[in-house]
Amino acid sequence: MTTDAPENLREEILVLKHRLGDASAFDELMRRWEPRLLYYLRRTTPQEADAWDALQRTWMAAFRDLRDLKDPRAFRAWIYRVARNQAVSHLRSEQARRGRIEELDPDELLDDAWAPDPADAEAVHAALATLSLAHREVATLHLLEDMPLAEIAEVVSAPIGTVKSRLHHARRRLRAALAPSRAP
Amino acid sequence: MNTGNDLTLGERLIRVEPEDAELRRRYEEGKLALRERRLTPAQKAAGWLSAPLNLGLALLVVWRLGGAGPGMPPEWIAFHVAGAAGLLAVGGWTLHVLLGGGRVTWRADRAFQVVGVVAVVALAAAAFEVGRSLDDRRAAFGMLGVAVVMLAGAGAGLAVEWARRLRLESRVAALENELRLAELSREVAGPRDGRARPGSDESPAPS
Repeated sequence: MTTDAPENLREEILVLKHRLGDASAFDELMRRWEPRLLYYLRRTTPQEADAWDALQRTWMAAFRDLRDLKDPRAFRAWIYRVARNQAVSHLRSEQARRGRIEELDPDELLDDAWAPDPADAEAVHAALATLSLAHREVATLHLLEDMPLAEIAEVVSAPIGTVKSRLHHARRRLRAALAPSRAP
Repeated sequence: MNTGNDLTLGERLIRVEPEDAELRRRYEEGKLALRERRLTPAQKAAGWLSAPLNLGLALLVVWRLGGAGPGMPPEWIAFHVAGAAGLLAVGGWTLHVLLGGGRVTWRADRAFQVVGVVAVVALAAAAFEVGRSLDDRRAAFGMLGVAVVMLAGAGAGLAVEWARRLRLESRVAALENELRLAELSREVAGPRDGRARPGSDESPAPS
């Protein structure tokens, strides 16, 4: 979980300044979040062009609705939820949304000891593409943002148990995919 | 600024994937649309109703001013002129926005709010004056009531907006102080593995 207090404070200040009518505050929020949101949207939309379109619509929706965000400290989950809504509208007719999710015991504990090495980023990126959309989405949020389960559940509008099982499955697949790259 | 060896997994993931330059260019052009907002259908309907009303009232005020003759005190002439100018400004601005497809920049929006408040006050003054000149007491009372309601509405709107801005500005000031303290604490504590999120001040956004 990200505990960078100064960064959280900066973002809260930017959200409040946006509410005061400071256009440069929203520009700064876009600059900060653009790379991460684009990466997330590219994992959750079929084509790169769809991701760019979704990102643009994300900013338009965020610019309009940011004043309604009750707690500025919850900006991260909120902006990912806005982005997800834009991606979902793209995927409404896609078969991927009806992809089968492997049934797992939601009480099964996550292997908290395992985390991919940042040096394996390229392999992780390639392995993400092999996951189903539902698994890829939660795995991306977890790996990109180190987002806790409760926050991921808020973004994807699913129960924590469902998110937990999806993430467990995704991490298991990623670990298996990364294992050959570590073979001597 | 994070060096290559200090990057988190998230930062590295972002850098792995190249982006299409043409898509990026189209996206940047699209972002310009954020500089403006579009009126909702309800706002457009209200605009089409209020614009002719404003312009009509302005003409009425000018007509009454013209018909008043040289006996009207100068201060009342000024009230009439101000009222007519305010009504013309609001009505004209509304028509300009509507004819432009209902699109208005946020900066112009703020300017319009100021003009709007001034116009409401001017309109209230004009309504008050019209009410004073009516022989029919019932009609006069109604017009005076309209003037009072307008003034009360403008005053309440200003008060609410002032309170909202005061609350936000106070909160921003408090957070900025808290931020300075947090940064100072970090400097005093010395360098450590303080991983900044990708795209933050301490981590440059990928090109």
